[in-house]
Amino acid sequence: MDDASIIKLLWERDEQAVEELKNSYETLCFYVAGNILSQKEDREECVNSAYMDVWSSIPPKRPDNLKNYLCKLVKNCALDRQRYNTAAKRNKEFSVSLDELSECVSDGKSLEDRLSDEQLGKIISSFLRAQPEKYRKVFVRRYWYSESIEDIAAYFDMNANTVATYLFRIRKKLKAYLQKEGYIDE
Amino acid sequence: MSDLKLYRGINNIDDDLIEEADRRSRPVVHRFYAFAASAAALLITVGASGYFSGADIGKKTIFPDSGIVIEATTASGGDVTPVTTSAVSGGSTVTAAVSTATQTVINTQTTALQSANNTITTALVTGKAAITGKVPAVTSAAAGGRDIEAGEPTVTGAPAKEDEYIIEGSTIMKKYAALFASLLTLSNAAAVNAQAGAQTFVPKNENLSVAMNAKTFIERYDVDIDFNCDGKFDIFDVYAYYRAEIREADERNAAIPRCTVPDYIWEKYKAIPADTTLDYTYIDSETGEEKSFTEKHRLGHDELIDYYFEYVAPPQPEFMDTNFYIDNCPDDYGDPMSYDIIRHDGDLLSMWDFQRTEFSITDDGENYRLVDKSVAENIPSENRDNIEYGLGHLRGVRKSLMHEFIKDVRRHAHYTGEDRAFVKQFIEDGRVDPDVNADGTFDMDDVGLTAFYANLRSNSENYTYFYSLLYQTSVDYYSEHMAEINPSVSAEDWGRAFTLCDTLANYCDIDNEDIVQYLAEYYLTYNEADSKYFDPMYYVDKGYTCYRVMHGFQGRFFQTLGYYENFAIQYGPSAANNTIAAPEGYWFSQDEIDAAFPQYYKDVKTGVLPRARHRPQRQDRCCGL
Repeated sequence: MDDASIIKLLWERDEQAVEELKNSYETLCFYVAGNILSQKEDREECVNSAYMDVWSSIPPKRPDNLKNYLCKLVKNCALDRQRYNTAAKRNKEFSVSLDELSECVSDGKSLEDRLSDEQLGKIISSFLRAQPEKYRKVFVRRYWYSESIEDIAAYFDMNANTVATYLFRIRKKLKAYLQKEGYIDE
Repeated sequence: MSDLKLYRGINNIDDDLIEEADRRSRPVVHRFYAFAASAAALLITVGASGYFSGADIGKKTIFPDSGIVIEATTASGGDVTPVTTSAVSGGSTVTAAVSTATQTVINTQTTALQSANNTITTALVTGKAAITGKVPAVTSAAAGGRDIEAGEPTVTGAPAKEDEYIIEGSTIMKKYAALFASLLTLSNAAAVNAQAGAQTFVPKNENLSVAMNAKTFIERYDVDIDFNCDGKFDIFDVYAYYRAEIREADERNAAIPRCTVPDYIWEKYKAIPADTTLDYTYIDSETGEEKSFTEKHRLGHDELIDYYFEYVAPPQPEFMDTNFYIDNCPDDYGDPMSYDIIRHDGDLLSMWDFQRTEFSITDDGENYRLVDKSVAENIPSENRDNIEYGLGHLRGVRKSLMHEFIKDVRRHAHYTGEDRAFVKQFIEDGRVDPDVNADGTFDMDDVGLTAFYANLRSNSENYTYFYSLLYQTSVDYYSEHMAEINPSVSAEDWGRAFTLCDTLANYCDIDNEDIVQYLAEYYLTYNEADSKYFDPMYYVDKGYTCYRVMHGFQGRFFQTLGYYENFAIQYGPSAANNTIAAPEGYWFSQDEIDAAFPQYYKDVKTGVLPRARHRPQRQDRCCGL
């Protein structure tokens, strides 16, 4: 079933919508959650929670891209769970990618609290659009899909070292961008 | 946790960026080592059959520098050729049956380094001339004059000690690493797809699905695509649509208009239905099946480019040339800068000049000049690796929309695969000179030198434009600079490599390493290449590349010579004479190769495998960087 039909079912409050969501995106949802969480139970909880969130938020929402909307919900839940988990339960690869990102707001500084996640998303989108396509894609797969460098290299048929270099460069640029635009508190 | 906040921000980036990252956009060559165990036997036979010109059958070159791996024995008489192979570890067995058109016998013993148990059978049939010459009963040799000790191994029976391994291992490792990696790259020839016969290389068109979407939309809503009302649909209509998009975006964002758009274009643009829902069809990249989906849609100029290339006319080189638009565009978009400052001299536009003319600056809001060294020096050092970003934050700087459009056209032209034809066209009509080493002919030596150049440049690509601003004489700067750090190549040769790559880069949306690929594929399509050109050690000896453990050969071209050998077999002038059928290969990862080394080392030390003969080695260089 296509996204438009699923959304239509959700608006009609037809519970079949959740089944169709599962049919279409369950594998993807577990993949996304699995890149952040190492425990199977955690992943299941997040994915089920995301289905519930979709059911609760549509209507009134009508997302343009249901797949990304659902994945974002899964990721948000997984991020919460990741923070809650003990170190032993965390996905080590994901922790590494978080450490990488922390370089962008290092030196004891932090991102402005007044920025909402959505605003920050727009700012980062704007930054990414100014980057070469290959850098953009590698960045999104690393920090949105939370994939390992090796997986990204395999996905784009690149050398892992090249992927790491791209990520290093773009993080450096992102840091400069956030500082220059005044989004990082002193 | 600020890092988590940033992560949450990333979680909210725009959908189109996520979708974009889901697409594997451009075709690239496999860069990892792959080895079909069967390929060893297959390539021995390909080599033994004298496939490549210059091959000496009686003293046949088989594999380069193979201190380990292969012994080949050719003999006459008999009908069927048993080929036996023993593996270094894991006890795997590779068996291949080989026959030729005249039933010539080839007995081949292959010792292949392999870390997993598997049995592979290879069948190879070659239609080339028979091997009838008398050959030594036992012949063993290696490419490029690197001989293998083929005599009886000295069996010591004593396993290598650990410290021995550490001390002597480095010597053997160096040797081993290079030769084994070269074996692997060579072996790709069979691993990819050896269903040869007369084949024509057809680049993949990646635009097709998008073009189909645009076509569906245009037909469904009966869109009048003659946007500039001149009675025909051409590239200038696509350009008009792009300009209208810019105007609309500026209006939506209440930004200062970047251009004006004539009313006759604007009215047609506004008449196109926006945000419609439509069923689209696309070609599934994995299955090749036509599928459909429903999505909201707003026709974009990039889709229109694909539509134009797919259904109206293929891309032309002039579409990537600013002079073409300056001289021929019938519509006025009110660009404030004079086009005279953008116009270039000469027949072809180089990437250097394209980038140099992309930004202009005004002090008084009226008179524009190109951004130059004096402006570039105001860019903060932290922004110099992203010139566009750095310049965008300087007052009075303006980015050329014509250049922006050309960049899109260039990218989409590349996706059609037609840009390969530009390279052929430019070489054959003499508009670019691929004879980089100026020896009077264009051959694989020129490709190798260009690949050396490409590898060096790839490490400093982000600085190109900045340097172009600081050093207006681009060729002189780079050729002198590179000759300083790599005195083995003259400044003149560097200059020719620079000019060649820089010119082609403007017409193909590819980097220098890709340009090397285009050049190599062009050459191999029309010329026989000696087998030495597929041996990475040939280029090591020339100083163009070096081997680093865990990293392989420096430079993509040198890492993927197996691809080019395969390309020559499949698409070269002799492709029609060969029919090769090979099973799917067994692929080795670099980790597997490295893991297998200790066993290999022990076998050499105990005489199970012959030791590579020591010979003066050219000192490994790290390509100057």
